[in-house]
Amino acid sequence: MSQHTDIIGRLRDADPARVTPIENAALFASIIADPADPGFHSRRHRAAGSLRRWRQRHTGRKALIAVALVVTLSGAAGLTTIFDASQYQHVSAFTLFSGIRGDSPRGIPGDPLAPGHTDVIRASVKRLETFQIPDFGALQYWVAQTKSGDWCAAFRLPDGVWAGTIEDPKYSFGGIASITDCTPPASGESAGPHFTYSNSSFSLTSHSALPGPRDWTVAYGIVRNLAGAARVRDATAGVSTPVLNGHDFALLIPNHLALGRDTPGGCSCGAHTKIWFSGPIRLEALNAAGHVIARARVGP
Amino acid sequence: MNMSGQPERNVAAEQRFADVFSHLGLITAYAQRRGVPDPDDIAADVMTIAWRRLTHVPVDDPRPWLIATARNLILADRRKHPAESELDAQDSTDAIDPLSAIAALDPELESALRTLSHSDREALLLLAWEDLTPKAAAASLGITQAAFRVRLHRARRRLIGELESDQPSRRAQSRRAPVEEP
Repeated sequence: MSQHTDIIGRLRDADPARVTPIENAALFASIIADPADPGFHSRRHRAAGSLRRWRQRHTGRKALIAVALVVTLSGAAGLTTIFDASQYQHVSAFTLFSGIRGDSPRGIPGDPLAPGHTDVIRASVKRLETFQIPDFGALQYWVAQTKSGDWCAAFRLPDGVWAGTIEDPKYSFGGIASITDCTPPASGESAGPHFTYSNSSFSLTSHSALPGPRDWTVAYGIVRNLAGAARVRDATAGVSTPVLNGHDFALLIPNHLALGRDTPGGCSCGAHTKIWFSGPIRLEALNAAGHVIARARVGP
Repeated sequence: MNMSGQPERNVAAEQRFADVFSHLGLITAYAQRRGVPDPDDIAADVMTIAWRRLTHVPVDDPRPWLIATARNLILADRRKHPAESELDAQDSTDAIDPLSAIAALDPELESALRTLSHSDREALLLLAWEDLTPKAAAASLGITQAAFRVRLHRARRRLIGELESDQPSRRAQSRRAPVEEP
């Protein structure tokens, strides 16, 4: 018996992690911003039987997400989702996507009073790409899908904060808060192969004093109804990326390779970022043999 | 919904959830011990589920429920996201083996633990690392206390047997070099 007790003690001594209290007010706030279990009542919350739980699950959720407006830039996609950004800085990707609100029940895209909760398919939440950008750090690209067929995308910055959740140029890429977004299939999309984008693209500037590229464009999106698409290429810069996950792509384009396209606008958003007011980005979908099978144009 | 368009707060639910949320560190540590690359994410997801299913979380001791949820999420992720693991070659091996990311474990002990079945190992570790009582550990595993005792006894016996046996083959399986005598 003492041997048995000793083995537990030995395991305890080898514990590779120690439990420490974690204060995470932001996470707590982001979670309770969603509706609670609809069966939880303030005056009585005894253990629920199966019948009551079934009823709870099938009762419409009437508690709604508290919303704080953040600056958004309406993109070509037409729908701009808005979410309580400040509470989502450090949450998991699933929580982030789940907090993005979908279409306004009043039919107003970007309606600040639109309640909602995005039914993200948990298994679809994936980190597809991590860009290692000199003097900027690792930029992660995450995607997900919703039960209604929306496509979600988000970027996580090197310090772990989700892009667009802080109203600061460093975190919003010049105010494009809706860079974290869920976009429904465009109307008429089934008509043919094409690319779909979430607010087209964004641009960032690393603050390197070293020679080499400092300005970058990230073009990202999905390829729909396009069998055989293996890569996506920026036709101007010549850089390409494989199509991941069946239809997703994210392309990091050094701007110095895209000379002739950049015609900067009047925005000067800070030392770290700027908005790309440039000419169109021309993307090509390539098949496995390297042949162009579709083209897309983003921007003016 | 109130006049400002915001949801009415369920204060009682928030107070109740605060008790549950106080175990965030426990769940983070649980995920870390099981070799999850991003234990904070798992813990956050567990808490999100707990909030949405608050009536299902036991009031007296939420730990077994939370740990069971974390275990299910970890296992589901490992089943459903092999492609995601493949995207990151460094993570692909670690994501499959529940113990592989535990770097600080005594190699001999780790090697012996690897010989146990997942269920036997989990029974031992719930007591040793999560500090659950046998009753709580049984609840976390969804088995009776009697069944848990049998499983625990078997796991202890096998682990001790492994540690006491001087099997070169097992030692050779250890991925880490033995600690040198001073």
